[in-house]
Amino acid sequence: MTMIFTDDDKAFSAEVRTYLSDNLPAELARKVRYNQRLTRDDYTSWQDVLAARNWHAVGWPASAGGPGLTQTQRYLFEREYGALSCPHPCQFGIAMAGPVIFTFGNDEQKARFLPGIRENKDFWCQGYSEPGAGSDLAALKTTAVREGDHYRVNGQKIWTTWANWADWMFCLVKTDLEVKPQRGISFLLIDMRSPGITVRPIKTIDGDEEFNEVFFNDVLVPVENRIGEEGQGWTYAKFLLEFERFSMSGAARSRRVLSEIRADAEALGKADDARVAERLTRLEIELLALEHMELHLLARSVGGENPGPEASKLKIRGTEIAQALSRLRVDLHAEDCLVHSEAFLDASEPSDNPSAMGAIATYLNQRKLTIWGGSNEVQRMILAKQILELG
Amino acid sequence: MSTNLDDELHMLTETVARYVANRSDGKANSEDGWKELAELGWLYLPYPEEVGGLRLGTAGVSAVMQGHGRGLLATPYLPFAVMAGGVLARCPRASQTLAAVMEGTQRVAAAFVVGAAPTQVAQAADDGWRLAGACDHVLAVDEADAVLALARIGASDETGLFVVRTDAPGVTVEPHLLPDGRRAGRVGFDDVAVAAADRLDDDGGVETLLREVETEALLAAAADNLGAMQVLYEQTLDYAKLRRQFGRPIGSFQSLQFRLVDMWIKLDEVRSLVSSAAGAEDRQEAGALAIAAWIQSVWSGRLIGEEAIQIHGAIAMTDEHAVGRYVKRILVNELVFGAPERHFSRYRSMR
Repeated sequence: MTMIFTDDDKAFSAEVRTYLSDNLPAELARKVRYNQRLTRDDYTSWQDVLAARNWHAVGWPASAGGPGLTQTQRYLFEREYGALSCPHPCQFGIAMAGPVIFTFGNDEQKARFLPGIRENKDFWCQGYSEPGAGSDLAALKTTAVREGDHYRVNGQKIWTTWANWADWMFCLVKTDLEVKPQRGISFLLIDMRSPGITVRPIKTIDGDEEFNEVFFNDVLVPVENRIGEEGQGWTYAKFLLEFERFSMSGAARSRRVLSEIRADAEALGKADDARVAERLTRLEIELLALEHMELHLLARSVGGENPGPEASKLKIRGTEIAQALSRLRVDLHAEDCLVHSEAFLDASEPSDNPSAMGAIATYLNQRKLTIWGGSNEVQRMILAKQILELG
Repeated sequence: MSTNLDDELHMLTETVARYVANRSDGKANSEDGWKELAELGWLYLPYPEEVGGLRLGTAGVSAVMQGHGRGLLATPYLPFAVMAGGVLARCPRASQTLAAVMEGTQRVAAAFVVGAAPTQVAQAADDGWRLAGACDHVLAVDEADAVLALARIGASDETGLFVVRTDAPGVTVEPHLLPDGRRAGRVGFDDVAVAAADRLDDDGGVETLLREVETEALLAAAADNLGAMQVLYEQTLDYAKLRRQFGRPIGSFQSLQFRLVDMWIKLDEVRSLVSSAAGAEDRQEAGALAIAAWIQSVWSGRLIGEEAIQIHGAIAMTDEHAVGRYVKRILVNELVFGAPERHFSRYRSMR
């Protein structure tokens, strides 16, 4: 089945393209283009632009106050978004906390939390990983013990992206130590200003400080901040693994990066170098295959099929290709990448060779792609079990 | 694409599947095999309605070719119908020959190599042309009544298209086996007299025509690879579930699970590109997708073939086992139609 876009679809694409390009500040686009570090304000001011059009919570249904886009529009939005140098959206509120709340939360919780996420008022982080529980979430150790109207939370989260900026965390905690691990986990929303929370940033290999450790020392969380049933947190976490898999290919962004690298190669006079040309073409064809896998999956989805876990293939290939591109950029600029400048990476100082200056930090930063969002090994396990039916 | 066409395509796909399932009788290379294709109407598929063909076009060809790969059919549908026929269909002067090709009464082999300049030379003579030179590895040439040959015109850069009967004086055919059991051969032209009417092209335009035909041939070859690697994947997955070692199915070991998942993804990449190329409305886009489909089919085919042998283990090293036949099919396709890197610049010029 081939995906065919209607005139309405094309008009929607044009509308998105116009709005985004008209409102994307040049300075911000430049930072994104050259992979310089973004500040909290960079993200939130851009997300305000999106929220003004109700495109911040772009994947939400109208019933949750979102724009209620069709699957096709959702796909086209991603395509237009990735084609421009827009900041990668901070997904924890809009793509994770929000969908769990509007799917499993009660009316009071929806009224209390959804507007803040949708309108970009609250900054969210995700409290899943722990020192002993990465891909294996069933091994969680952070506990929440019920005391009247509160849970008393003790333990530690780690690799918590943007915990240092966050107002809220959605968090998996153990509420029952007796039952099977998957049955004893609950889903709590925790105010990051609660007494007893300590956030300690962790510097990453690219020199950035996105990651954090978060310590909970007798933190009291109101019972009304628990989403759904006690002990059902595992179900909600699994629901999230399947939510918005479509946006995980990153194909549009990779398409943009590929053309940037091609432009770099031309500027360096290396476009006709056979090795460079071969690697560029190779990646371009791999990317084309990814784009068409995605289009066929979309066509099936629009046709009423639920491809379910099949979309894991998009995450696997999309992240592999993005990583290969980041490596190609390093190889292309070669020794020009050797000048390390914190001032450039923080965008406090310009450079006359910005593409090379950011290449190593990007290459290192992009290693995260195959680890987070369900590592690529977890995605392969899901496909092996659920699609290939291997025991 | 209209629903009507979708239905027709669906019916064709089912017919192909039935045909392939019913023929393990070894007559793929025989006169009978070609007659069957003719009776099924498949020899009309590659051409537009204006020249008497059916309108299923590349999508129809792709379905037939996937069947060829799946069933390891040796009927020379690709070289005869897609390549030689594709050239004939673009030359108004060849309408009678094309009609005979569509009916199955005349079989024309394709004596040209995708992406290569012609090695034959044609000199003008009183009553037409004299052809000299040779072309290697012409698929199924020993079954052909005639060959479609390319030749440089005199000392010029111009290329001409000629139809030459294989029993014409001065034409020699030296057949050989291909590693996968199909047949090819060297066709030689020793000062062969060709009538003026058997030069098919008017001056010029041959390059564009050939590029179009070659693009269709590469997509057809990608579909053949797709059919073959689909079987390799399915057989390997089934085997991993059945074969027990260390007291459990080998498919329960994670190292093999991950490799099978990667085979599945590589297969899906080819399937997506072949399907998009066959369905694309825009000519330029369809062309670029066709080349990409061919390139990806070789990359995927290599991985799937090698993994299929490894996961099956020693049994796949036997001549009797089917895996080896599929691996050889894909390998021969690659060598006949050209390794990926050979097509990179063509891809870049089309996107």
